[in-house]
Amino acid sequence: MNSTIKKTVFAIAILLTCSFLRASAQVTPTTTDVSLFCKGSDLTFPAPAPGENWIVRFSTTATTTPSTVITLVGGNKIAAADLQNGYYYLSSKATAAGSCESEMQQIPVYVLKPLVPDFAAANFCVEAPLTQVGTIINPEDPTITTLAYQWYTVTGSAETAIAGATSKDYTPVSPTVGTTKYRLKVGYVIGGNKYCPQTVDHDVVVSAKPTKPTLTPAQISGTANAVTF
Amino acid sequence: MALPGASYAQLCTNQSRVYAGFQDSQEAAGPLGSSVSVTNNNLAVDTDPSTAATLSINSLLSSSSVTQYLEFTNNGTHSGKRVITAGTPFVIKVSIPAAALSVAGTIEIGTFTGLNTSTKAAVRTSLYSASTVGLLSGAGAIEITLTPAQAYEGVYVKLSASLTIGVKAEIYGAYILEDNPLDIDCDKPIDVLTGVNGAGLLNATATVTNPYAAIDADPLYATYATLNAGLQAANEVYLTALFAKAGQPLDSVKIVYDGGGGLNLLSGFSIQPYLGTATAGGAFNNGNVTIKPVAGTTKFEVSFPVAAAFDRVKISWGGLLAIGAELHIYNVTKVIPKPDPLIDGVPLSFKNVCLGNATTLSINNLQQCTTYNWYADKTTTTPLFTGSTYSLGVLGLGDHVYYVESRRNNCISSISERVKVTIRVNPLPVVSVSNVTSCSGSTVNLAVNTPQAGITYNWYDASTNGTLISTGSTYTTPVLTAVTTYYVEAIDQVTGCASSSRGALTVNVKPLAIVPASTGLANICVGEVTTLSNSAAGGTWSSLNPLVAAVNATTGEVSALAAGTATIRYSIPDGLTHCANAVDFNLTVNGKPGLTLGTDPEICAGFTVASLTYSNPVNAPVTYSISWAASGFTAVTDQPLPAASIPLTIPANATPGIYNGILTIKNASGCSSQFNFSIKINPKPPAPHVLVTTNSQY
Repeated sequence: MNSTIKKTVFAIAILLTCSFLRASAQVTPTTTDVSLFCKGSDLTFPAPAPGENWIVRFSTTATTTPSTVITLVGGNKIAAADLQNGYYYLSSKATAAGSCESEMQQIPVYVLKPLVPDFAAANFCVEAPLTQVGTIINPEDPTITTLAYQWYTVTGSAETAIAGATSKDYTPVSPTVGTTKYRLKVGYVIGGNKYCPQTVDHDVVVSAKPTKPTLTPAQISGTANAVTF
Repeated sequence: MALPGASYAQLCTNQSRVYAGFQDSQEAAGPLGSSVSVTNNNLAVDTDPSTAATLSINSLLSSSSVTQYLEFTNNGTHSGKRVITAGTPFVIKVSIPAAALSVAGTIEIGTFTGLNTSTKAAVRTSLYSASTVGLLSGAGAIEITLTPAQAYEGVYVKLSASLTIGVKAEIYGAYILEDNPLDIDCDKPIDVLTGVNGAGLLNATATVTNPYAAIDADPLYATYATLNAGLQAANEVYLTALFAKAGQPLDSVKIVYDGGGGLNLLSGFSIQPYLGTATAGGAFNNGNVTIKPVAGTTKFEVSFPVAAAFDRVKISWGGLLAIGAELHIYNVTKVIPKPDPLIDGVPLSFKNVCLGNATTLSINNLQQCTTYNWYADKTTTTPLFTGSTYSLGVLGLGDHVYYVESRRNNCISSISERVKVTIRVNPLPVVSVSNVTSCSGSTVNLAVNTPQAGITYNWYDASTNGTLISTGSTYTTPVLTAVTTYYVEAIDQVTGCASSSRGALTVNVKPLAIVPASTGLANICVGEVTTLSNSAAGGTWSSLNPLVAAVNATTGEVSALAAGTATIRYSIPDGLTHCANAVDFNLTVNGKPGLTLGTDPEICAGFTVASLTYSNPVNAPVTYSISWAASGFTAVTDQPLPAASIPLTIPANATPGIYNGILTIKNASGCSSQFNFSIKINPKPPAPHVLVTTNSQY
């Protein structure tokens, strides 16, 4: 009997704790119905119905009583600079006096920080291609560790994905002597989708194989001289 | 020359002159045609001081003398001679006729015994001798007083001269003073001495004529003595009137005189009283006496009291302004002063006295040798009382008149006019007062019953003596807590008479009824009712501030009507053994707090906070409470009242609708007021459903 009660109480406690943690958890890229934004993007709501205004409140955690009222730009936009991770609560209220504010729509928002990709251009001789080693600064790490890579060659403004070059490093195949602009594009992989790509370009010089040298024996020193025994 | 006056002084018994009554003479003329004579011999032994015998000598080639013996007798004959004991002074009056002033002669005066009328021999004892008697008073007479050391039978006067013609001396007589049991005319002058003072007496031109006219008591003042100062300013003529008896201090001198129609009173006029030869007090002159005219005449009268006893008064006249002028003396008398009566020791002629008080009359200017007679009127001869202090005892109501005269003892005419004294015996005022009853702790207004005008009422704390508390017909006591008796005296403001006794007025002070303090709530709110109580029975309740609180007179139930303070009194009425008393209960009626609510709040569903606005708070509300009719709303109790807006907590799950509440506010006095209000909860629109577009995905 006592054991049963203890178990029940424990279970309730666990349940309450989980609920609390859930309810009070901050928005993550995987939060349900989260809206992912790249850093620097505005959040734009549809225009409110005539005679109504949007009211937006913010909370870093999910709540029913958000307190921070967000001033909208143009009545329906949250400027990129103000956009942050958290829960935005959208409600409407008619402009008529005494009108009640509507219930709130909860909008989880996660603003992805920009990735910083780079690679050091490794020039090489055409007969021995060198690997272009990419380096990525991931500001979302460890929240997001899965990234998507794609290498391109860029000619003018046109980029051409290099088939199969989807890893962090890339070793050119059948390079062409000369200078080739390579581009590394990196994005977050969330829920199988890729977000907020960032690129970096570098020229890589591919040298040709030198011709065979022509030397006369005279030009060669150190040769063994005939000895007499 | 010393003229002792002691024999005159302060003797109530009369002393009268006893003149030598028998005379003889002895003539001893020189040879060769000398002659001596005595003429008018008997005029020296009569009792008239103005007549004299004359001794004359004409001595041609030798010395001559003439002696006159003046013998004291019992019957005027030699055989009836008397022996005068040694030490008995005698007085002899002599003068030198004006024509003989410049002639040298010697007068010898002495006593004798054993006169032989045949041989003219006698045993003489010379006491006095002078050759220039005229220098004493010029042509005037003088009195020479001598006191023999041996017994004597008479006095002789011997005039002698040598180789001189026309020597004369006038002998007026010789006398001794002896007690006289008979009454005499004390104030009447009996003799006059005249003469001249100053230089050049032997040829002085000053004269006194008809000197006895100054003392003849002529009531019409028809005769007079004339003082003529002559032509020598250095001389001064005088007239001395001698009275039969020395007066008493404060007797007056009265002189009637004029200047012959041209008297200049501003200078040269002097009056000096004497007792014998000694001055009695200071001299009087026109500068220090009051001179008044005698009505209907051109004469003047001067009268003044003399502080010392005197038996003569000397009137002197001379100086530059007196040259060629005359002074007529019509009469010189001594006057006994009028008595100055005292009524109960105070110099008064009229006095109001009060019935029941003894009165005593007495004399202020009391004199020796004087009898004071008190009469019923001015003319009655039989006095009511004789003596200087007349105790009248207690007199009856009305005026009582007495006349008092002073009469010099053993004198015939030395009687003053009668002085009237009136004593008015006044009734004593009556004071009537009645006892009163008062209550302890109160002042009491007391009053005399039927107060009379002109009567002063004095209030005392004792029946006799005591302290004068107040004056007036009414008196307000201090706060009395015990029975107290006051005593009222009535005093007639005109007569000063006081009531025979003080009227006693007792204030019976009853204690106040004992009323304990009332009990009950001392602070109530407007509109509330409370009941006060008091353990003393029989009292009634009343409100001294009925607009603030009303009280039921019987039950003590108090109804608070308006903010303020009210005194609720519980009164016990007067009783037989106690006085009404009351006790007050201070009640404070506090106003109810109030405010004006704003419009009922209206919120949207889901809101948990609303506010109830208000304004115009009154009576200082400090807390509030809120109760709700609907369940689910949380009541609020006694919260501090915020300014302007009262917060409302709305259940989050309150469904839209109208909810009624009651707001109760209280102030610091505990008074409260309630206000109904309602709140409307409006439904909340559903949440919007917008799709947030992003461009983050590629």
